[in-house]
Amino acid sequence: MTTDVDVFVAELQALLGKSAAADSVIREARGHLDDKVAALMRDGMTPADASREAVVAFGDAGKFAFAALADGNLDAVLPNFLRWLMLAGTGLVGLGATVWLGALVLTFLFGREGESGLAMAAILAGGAAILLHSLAFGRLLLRRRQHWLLCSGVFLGGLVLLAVSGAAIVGAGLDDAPGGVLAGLLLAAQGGAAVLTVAFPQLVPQKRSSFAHLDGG
Amino acid sequence: MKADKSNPRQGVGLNALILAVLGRGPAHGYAILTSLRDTSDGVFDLPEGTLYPILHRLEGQGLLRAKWQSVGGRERKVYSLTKAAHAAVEAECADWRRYAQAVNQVLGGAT
Repeated sequence: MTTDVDVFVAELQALLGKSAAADSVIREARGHLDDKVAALMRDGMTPADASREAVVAFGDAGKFAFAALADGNLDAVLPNFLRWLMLAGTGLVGLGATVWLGALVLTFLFGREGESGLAMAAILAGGAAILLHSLAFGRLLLRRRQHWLLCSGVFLGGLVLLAVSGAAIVGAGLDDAPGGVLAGLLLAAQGGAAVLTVAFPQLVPQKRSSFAHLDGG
Repeated sequence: MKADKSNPRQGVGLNALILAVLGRGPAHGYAILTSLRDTSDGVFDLPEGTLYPILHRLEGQGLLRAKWQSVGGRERKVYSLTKAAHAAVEAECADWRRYAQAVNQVLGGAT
């Protein structure tokens, strides 16, 4: 016989879809409802009444599912190592940009061979922008909630990186420069990861450490 | 007593109550709810489904850890405090005691 709890759980499944994280949320809700039904039956209710009462006490399935999605309860869609992998990747890009910038500055100071000041300034600005994006993206990965300006910057920077890296890969490929292709691929990975992380934050498990921001109650 | 301006709430939030319940020992959602209700003589009788988003958020914030384990022969997601949560609960309780003392002093003077 289908009980009110069964109907409620089926509704939750339809709302949350199929994933390991959704299954965990649904399983937990089911456990709660089963406990509630058992407690009500111990108090003398019939199974049907207890099931109905448990569902009413739990609240609306739609609101529960919305809260689960809105609060990022389904954060565990992807494993935590992905966040660390992205952090390592962006660290590598940041380090590469720093070395590159250092080399550019040294070249500018001591070994300039015909490049215009404007071209050098543009290249330096590009390197600095990549470094800045790495730092911002790293910060975003380390903490869950950030200022919208930082999120927007990381997102737009990611789009720019994707565009620039595409051109860099093609150019380096034509010049037969495997180092350039590799650097382009790294930039593309960082750009893509940044765009996806901002657009779909529930995909990436993230951390927040300060109790001061808590008060969900 | 001077107000703590770093704590604009000047009160205790539901998060802190949940953390305080878990400070007595690990528990699953239903047990947390009944403990809150029983120890407050029914004052904190939450809509039951609202508890889980809060628990999940606290878990995401690193204040709770959770694992599935058998409770009374049934698999339940059991929550416990992390080290960070212990410190947070102590700080929150201290804030609340200061606030309650201030309220008592004012009310005591008025009656």
